[in-house]
Amino acid sequence: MKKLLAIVLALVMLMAVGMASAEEPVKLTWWLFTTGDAPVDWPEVEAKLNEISREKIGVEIEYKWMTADQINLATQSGEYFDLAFTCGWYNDYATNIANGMFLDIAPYMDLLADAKALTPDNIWAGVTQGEKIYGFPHVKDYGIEVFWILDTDFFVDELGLDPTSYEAQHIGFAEMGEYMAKYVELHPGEIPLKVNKGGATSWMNGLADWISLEYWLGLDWAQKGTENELQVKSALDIPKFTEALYTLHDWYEKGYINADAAVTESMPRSIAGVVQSGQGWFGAETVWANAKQKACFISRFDGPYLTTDGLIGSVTAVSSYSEHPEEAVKAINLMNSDPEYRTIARYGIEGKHYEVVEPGIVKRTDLGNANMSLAAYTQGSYALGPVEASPFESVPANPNQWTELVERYTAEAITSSVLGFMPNIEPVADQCLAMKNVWEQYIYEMQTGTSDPAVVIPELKAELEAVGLNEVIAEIQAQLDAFMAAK
Amino acid sequence: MAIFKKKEADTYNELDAKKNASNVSDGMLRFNRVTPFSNALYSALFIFIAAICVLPVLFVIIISFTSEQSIGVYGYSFFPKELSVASYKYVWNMRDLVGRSFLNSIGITVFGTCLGVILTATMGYTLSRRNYKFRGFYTWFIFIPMLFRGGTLASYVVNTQIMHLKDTYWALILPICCSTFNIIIMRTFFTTTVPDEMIESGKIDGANQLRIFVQLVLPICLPAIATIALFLTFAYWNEWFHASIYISSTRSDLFPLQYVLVSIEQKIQWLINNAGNVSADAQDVPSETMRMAIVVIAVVPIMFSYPFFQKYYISGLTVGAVKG
Amino acid sequence: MSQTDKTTVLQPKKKSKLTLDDIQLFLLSLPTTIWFIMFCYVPMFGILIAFKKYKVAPGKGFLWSLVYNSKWCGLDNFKFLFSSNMKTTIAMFRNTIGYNIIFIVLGIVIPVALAIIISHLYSKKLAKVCQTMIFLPHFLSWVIVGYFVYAFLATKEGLVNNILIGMGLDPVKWYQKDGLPYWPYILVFLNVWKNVGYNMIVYMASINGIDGSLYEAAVIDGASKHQQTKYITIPLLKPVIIIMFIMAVGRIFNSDFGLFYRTTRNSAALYDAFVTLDVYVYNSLFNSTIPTYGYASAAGFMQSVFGCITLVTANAIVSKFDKESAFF
Repeated sequence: MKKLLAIVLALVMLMAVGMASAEEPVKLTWWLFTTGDAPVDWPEVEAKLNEISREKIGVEIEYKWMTADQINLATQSGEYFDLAFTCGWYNDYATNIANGMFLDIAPYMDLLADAKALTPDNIWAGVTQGEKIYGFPHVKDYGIEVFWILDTDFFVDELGLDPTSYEAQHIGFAEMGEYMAKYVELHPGEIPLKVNKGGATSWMNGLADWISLEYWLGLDWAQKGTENELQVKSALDIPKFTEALYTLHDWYEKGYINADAAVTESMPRSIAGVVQSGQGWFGAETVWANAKQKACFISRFDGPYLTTDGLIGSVTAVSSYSEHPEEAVKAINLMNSDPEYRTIARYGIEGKHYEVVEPGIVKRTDLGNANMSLAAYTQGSYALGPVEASPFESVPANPNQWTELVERYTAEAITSSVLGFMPNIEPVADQCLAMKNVWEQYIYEMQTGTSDPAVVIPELKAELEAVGLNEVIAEIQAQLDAFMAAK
Repeated sequence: MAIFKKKEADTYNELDAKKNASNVSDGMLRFNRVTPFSNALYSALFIFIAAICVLPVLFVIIISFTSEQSIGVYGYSFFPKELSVASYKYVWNMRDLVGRSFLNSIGITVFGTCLGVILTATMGYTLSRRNYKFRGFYTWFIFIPMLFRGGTLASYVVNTQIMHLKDTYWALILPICCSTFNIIIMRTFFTTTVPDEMIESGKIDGANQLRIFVQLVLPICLPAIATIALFLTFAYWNEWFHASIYISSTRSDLFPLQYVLVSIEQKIQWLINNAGNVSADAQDVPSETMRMAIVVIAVVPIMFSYPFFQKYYISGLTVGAVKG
Repeated sequence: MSQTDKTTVLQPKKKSKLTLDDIQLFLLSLPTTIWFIMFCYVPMFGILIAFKKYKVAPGKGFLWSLVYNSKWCGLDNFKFLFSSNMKTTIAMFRNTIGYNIIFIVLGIVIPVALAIIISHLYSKKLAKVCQTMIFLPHFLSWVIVGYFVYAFLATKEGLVNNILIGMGLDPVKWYQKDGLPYWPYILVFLNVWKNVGYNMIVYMASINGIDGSLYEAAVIDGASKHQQTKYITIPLLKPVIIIMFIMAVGRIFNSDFGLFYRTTRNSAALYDAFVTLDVYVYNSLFNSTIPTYGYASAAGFMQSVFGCITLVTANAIVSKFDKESAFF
């Protein structure tokens, strides 16, 4: 009896000592973006991630993947979080800062040293406001470059283009018309540029220094360096934009674009024609080849530009009411500087979700594609860890693409004159909502080339002016002038 | 052999019983018929309407078996150029998710329907009692929420911060188990089909209201109960909104089947609306054929549940006759 | 007729004291009462958002944000509903109310007629099979129906245009200006088609609940089937029809968003034919970077108030003629 008691006592003491020595890990909540589908195997991956983070920084993180609706409800109802993904189109960066939701992480920069060392300098302008830094920008394709994605079997095998040549890699927007003419000639009845109502993907991204793509307001790149460079304009007053519309309409009339494009909801890359487009970078062809299930090469028709929207394209912010701000910053540091941690978060578990093809290049397994597909760019830097192989030999993966990308941006990019400016449309919200409604009635037909710009532009312009376009521009212009003066 | 014979005998007995039951009203029905010409006309009309209604389901099934390339080149068609089972293979790859959500949907539907029927019937009965003191108050009490709602945000706050329904099955069951519409329908059924004398006689026998309700009222109101049960079953089976708000994406073990489908739709919508922001690393949209395959999986089982309820509507005049 | 007479006689006078009955009935309805309080009445404070510029306060929770951190803004949130041009505003209200009136009428006449006819069919088996089929469209979401409609109306590959070409006629660009005059009919058809099976059920269940002896007596009196329908079935369906009507009238400012938005694919050329209040609100607010709860709440509140007015009016008119069937 005594013996038993002694054993029990000893056990209790042991447990007490054990608990005291192993420090309780700090638990953090991290909000991430999803369109609604679930990475089914995430709980398993999260457990693995927590093993690493417990050991390295004494932190356990619960990742919550949230749709836009869910994160809006969560932030507006004051739910607790430590870290959150934010950008211009999800969990809106500017609105959150205006509401004081995000912590200034400038005082914590020491804890971010490892990650900061891997981050190019020109990326910080987007998240910096005066002395304050409201988030950590991820290294990804943070400049804007817009590409043609071209099928190898037509452009290389039939037309004989050399996909490695400079010319083939830089086919202009309007220039593509000539190639499509050839395609239609050689393949009568087939449509080269099949798009959904969104138009050719990303077609508009480089057409202006957009201040708001929602209301189609921006600065004219062509005016950069002149005295008018800071003039806020409606897209309809920017020649590069309207010219693109005329080109698209011309293509539509010639039958290069599908007739019902303006009412087509989905056009998966796997069935859209030999010409496609998208925002990306040299190196993204492997991603696209994967989506198309077809060999392709890419050709840049616009960019690179460095704009506020691009620089805040993917940011991790710390909650202003986080109970563990230091640990939260450490977690950002871990995600953006530890290749092992980053790779697991992005690809899953080696052998199960992905396999290493060669150093720096991995390939997802079927299971990985089905149960671990997620928007990895919302987690942290892309430049860290391996790149994904393509299924085609003619489309090799380049493990150095990120270093080259930063070099290219530094050498070639045109930088916006208003970096860091984010308009507050609250004072003209009614007009903006009405404008959005008007655009909604026109834009799908315009960007698919269905409607004739010569007819539609004046009509649309009159309607926009009637609902308050000029007031909105005046308000934003005033804010911009104030911003520039403060700078 | 003996077992077989017994079974056979049972079937005969059943048939006989049915015949006898219909004999009660047979004589009456004979006089009560429309002319054969009208009957033919009406039958033709219904066959026509039914055909129009079946067509889309057929269409969905055909698309789910069409090859994606064929849709890309020729568009949707009732007579696809090229057949394929690729979409079902893809769904098979998602079997963990689809299978689990399928079971979830069944569980939620069955439990929610039972709960909803109880809540609806009790309130409907109470409101139908003319001598109930609070009848007027309660009518307004359930009427106001039909028109005025607190909105998504306020409901979200109450459901997550007061009731803590987030990431639980309750979030998918409780918010839709009751509705003014169903209660009013129920009330109307009760007022029109339950005679007051019956309640009074129940009371004279010393029964309390609960016993009257369960033993006297419910049995003669089976069509009404079945109606509400049917509405609730469909509402639960088609429900996805609450899942989209209250179930985190990482808790896919709680997803109902409809939400799996809708989340794919939402992804497509999102990709259209954010065409400007989508950079290369965004995922591609799933194919239409795959979506249709999930629709087939979502629609077919509920189709088979329908005849179960149906027997309460199309039994003709027999129920009334027996009651009379 | 005799039934109503009896009930009026039987109806007891109002008592001032609680009877045992009242208490039992109260307890019987208690669970539902609690449900309504928790899921409908507690969240109702959210209506305040419609009159405030909601601004969240970091880390303070919703209530604090709403009460202390958000300014009252009167009717500002309602302005956006009328800030479009006159043409759209008129089209929006015209379509919302116009389509609803058509839907209410057809949503009663057609299902009632079909429910009566189906109860007359000789073959009960045919009746059952047809009824199951008529129900099928209800299970398809509007998105799926949208694809289905598109299969018919697509400009190039669509079934209808191929038939037109086969007959030597000109194809129609259904989703563009050409198609505009046809869309009101298409929308009405789709609405009836999708909902008729669902609406029929209520009436079929009611017909099923009618006391068979009434028909028996009528047959003995030599009434034809037509007369039976006119003098027995329809009068006994009347309370249900009236209740369905009143409830539909209460939602006259709401519209089935999916029908109008998904089947027309929000095609700008057809805007005039399909823009309703809900479509307008969606087009202004969806995917917006500015928080839109205030605006959405305002739109919903306006629909509720107008709906309430029309419902109470309809109820008052009904109770003038038939007090028994009215809502309150």
